[in-house]
Amino acid sequence: MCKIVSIHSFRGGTGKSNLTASLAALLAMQGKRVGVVDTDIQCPGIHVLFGLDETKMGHTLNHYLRGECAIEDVALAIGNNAAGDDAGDAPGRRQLRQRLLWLIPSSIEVGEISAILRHGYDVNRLNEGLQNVRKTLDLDYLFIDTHPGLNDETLLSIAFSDILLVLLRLDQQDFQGTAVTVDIARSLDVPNLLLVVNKALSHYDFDQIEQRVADTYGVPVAGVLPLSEAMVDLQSADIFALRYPDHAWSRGVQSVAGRLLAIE
Amino acid sequence: MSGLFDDISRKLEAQAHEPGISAWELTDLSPSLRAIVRALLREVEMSYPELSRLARTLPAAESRLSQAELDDALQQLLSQSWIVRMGQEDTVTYRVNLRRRRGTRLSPSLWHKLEQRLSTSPADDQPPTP
Repeated sequence: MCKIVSIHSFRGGTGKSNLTASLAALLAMQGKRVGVVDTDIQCPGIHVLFGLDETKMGHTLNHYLRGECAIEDVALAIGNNAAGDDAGDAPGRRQLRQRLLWLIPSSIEVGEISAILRHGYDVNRLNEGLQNVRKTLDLDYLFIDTHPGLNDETLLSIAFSDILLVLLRLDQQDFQGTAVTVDIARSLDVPNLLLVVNKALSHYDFDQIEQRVADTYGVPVAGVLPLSEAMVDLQSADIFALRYPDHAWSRGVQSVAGRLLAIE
Repeated sequence: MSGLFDDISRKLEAQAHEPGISAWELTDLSPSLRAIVRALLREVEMSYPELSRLARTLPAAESRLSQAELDDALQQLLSQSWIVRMGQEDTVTYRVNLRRRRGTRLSPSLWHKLEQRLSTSPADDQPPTP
């Protein structure tokens, strides 16, 4: 049965899309059928990590929400497209060739974004699309990359998720916002709630961070990931965890992926 | 945190006008009602026998519902237009009725100017040379 995994952070810049792309890629490399949906309609971005630009995108989530296509028409098979011949300079992404990974991107055209913001959309259609795509593609995991903060799409995805990963940095603003998110997730009865700390400075004691964060929120911590200059240097040109599998950040994400796989 | 307060403000405004349930309102439901809505969200559409089976087997024992309690719960959700009933008699199914996401209330002239700007070709967009 497909598990729906929402990846959320209260504030932007936490590394949500990088974590989502790497987790999805790692599970696809394990032979799982994986979908990734970019519900960040206002500021889409995860497509970049999968090597897509507007010339390679056909239909998008925006087109689906406006009733112009079926959700199946939006799902782009990464293993047959962005991981193909033009992934020569992206050794991480190239490993996804023939893997069963699909991306449902949001549009990056300003006119498409403004049309959704201006006219709104039918939230029932968004929900039906997400539920249908997991059935149609027979997915094992559906990852939902959400807009930071708390809005309708985010709350909806939290409400029907099996697993919610809340990403935070060691920052006072993140601490407060994460407390709000955790409270809401609890009130929505999310079956599996996990925290991931990202961008921790390397001289910190990661075990101590894990313990303190878990104690503070009363939520298990699935991983503490280091701040990585290599990640910044990569500039979203590839899937980090596949490109640098021995990097401390990637090992941390591998551990988080293991936690996801262990959830029944 | 202005985004959060903006959303709450929009939620309150929307409640007054639009039918259906918003994701925010899910947090206010009782555990039993929320479990029903959550199952309907995931399955998109469920028949009465499927809902009965769900109500009897909810993970939290205290949330489980008898047949009469399920009927009450469905009636409560229907009366608020938070779910809708489709079909007749033996083929009745239920779906969640999520409230439409409203468009922004920014001035139409702003959008008009944005569209004009977007339709301007890069060559036209250059500042005049002295």
